[in-house]
Amino acid sequence: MEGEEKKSEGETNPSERPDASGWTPELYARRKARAKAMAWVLVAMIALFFLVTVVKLGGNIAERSI
Amino acid sequence: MSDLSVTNERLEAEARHNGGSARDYFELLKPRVMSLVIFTGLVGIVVAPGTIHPVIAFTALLCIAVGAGASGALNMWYDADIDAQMSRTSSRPIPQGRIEPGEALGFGATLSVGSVLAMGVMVNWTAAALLALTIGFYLFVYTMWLKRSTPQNIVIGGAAGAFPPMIGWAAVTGSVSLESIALFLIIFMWTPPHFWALALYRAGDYEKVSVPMLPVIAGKRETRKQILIYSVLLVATSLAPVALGFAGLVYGAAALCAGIFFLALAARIWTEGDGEKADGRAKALFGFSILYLFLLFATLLVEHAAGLKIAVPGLGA
Repeated sequence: MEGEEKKSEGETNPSERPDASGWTPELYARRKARAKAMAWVLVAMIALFFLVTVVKLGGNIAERSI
Repeated sequence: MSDLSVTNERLEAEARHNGGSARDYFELLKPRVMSLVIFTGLVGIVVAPGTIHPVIAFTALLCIAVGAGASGALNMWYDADIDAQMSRTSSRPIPQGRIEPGEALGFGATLSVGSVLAMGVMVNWTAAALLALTIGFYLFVYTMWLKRSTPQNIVIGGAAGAFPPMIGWAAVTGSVSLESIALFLIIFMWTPPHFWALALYRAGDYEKVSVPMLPVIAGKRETRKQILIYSVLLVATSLAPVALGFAGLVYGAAALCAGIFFLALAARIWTEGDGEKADGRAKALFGFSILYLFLLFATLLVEHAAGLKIAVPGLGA
């Protein structure tokens, strides 16, 4: 077992080795990139909903009867 | 086998399946197909009578793009088995193992529902209904039913790709009219010669995965004949906007010139037969067909946006 462990350690780059949960640094980097992309999409959606609300309500608010 | 090794295997499998990057997900949306959909949708918005706020127009286009992308993701989920065996599609994210089929299904379903609801709430419900029809038609009618059962798959299924200008038109007017149906028909008639030209030189790929494309079932000779027939119908349909009075002389001249060239390429495929240049001629028609559709819609767009419309005498305003 020990010999096998040493062999597999020798074959892989230390920076590519999985951690205790089985995730490699590359997978963490991909997950981070996905999370960033999702964050940007959410921010863009918030901005779009806000803009559309202003466009749809804008005239009605300005021309409402008091 | 110990509990620890079972846990490690599960974690390793999980790690492999969590490898999809943001780019892989973007690839699921078929961005190249999406670009043509966005463009034809934009033309529908610009050509439609009436006005629309630029923010609402942008929202409508975004919903069309996301809805089209969602259909692409759902198509890749359903067709993953045959995609893996075809050279043209084997590098897609699911056959490559970068994204799990279930993830693509969830991604596509979420975007489908989201884009239809957003279109309904922010633009109007006619456009939303047409978008839902497009997604449903592409997934259930084309992908699940027709694609693997009949050589007429892309003739009927082509309707899904023809809806975007109609959705754009409905985003502005809130209705479906004869003019928007004419735009729909142009893409509907364009789809068969476009895809059959591709199928002529990719027939082996389709045969391998038992997709009954016309060249596989009816043979290449019949396919060449059908390409020529549909090309004639396409050129005639491309002049409908002039006949209905919402396109002018500039569009009419462009559609006629490009149409004659399209017909010449289709006739060349017919006369070449199974000759040694057959694949090259089919590729030429396939390539030009993309340019042709772009040219038709670009001319319509420029004519309306730049006020270049000169009415053809006796054919409407």
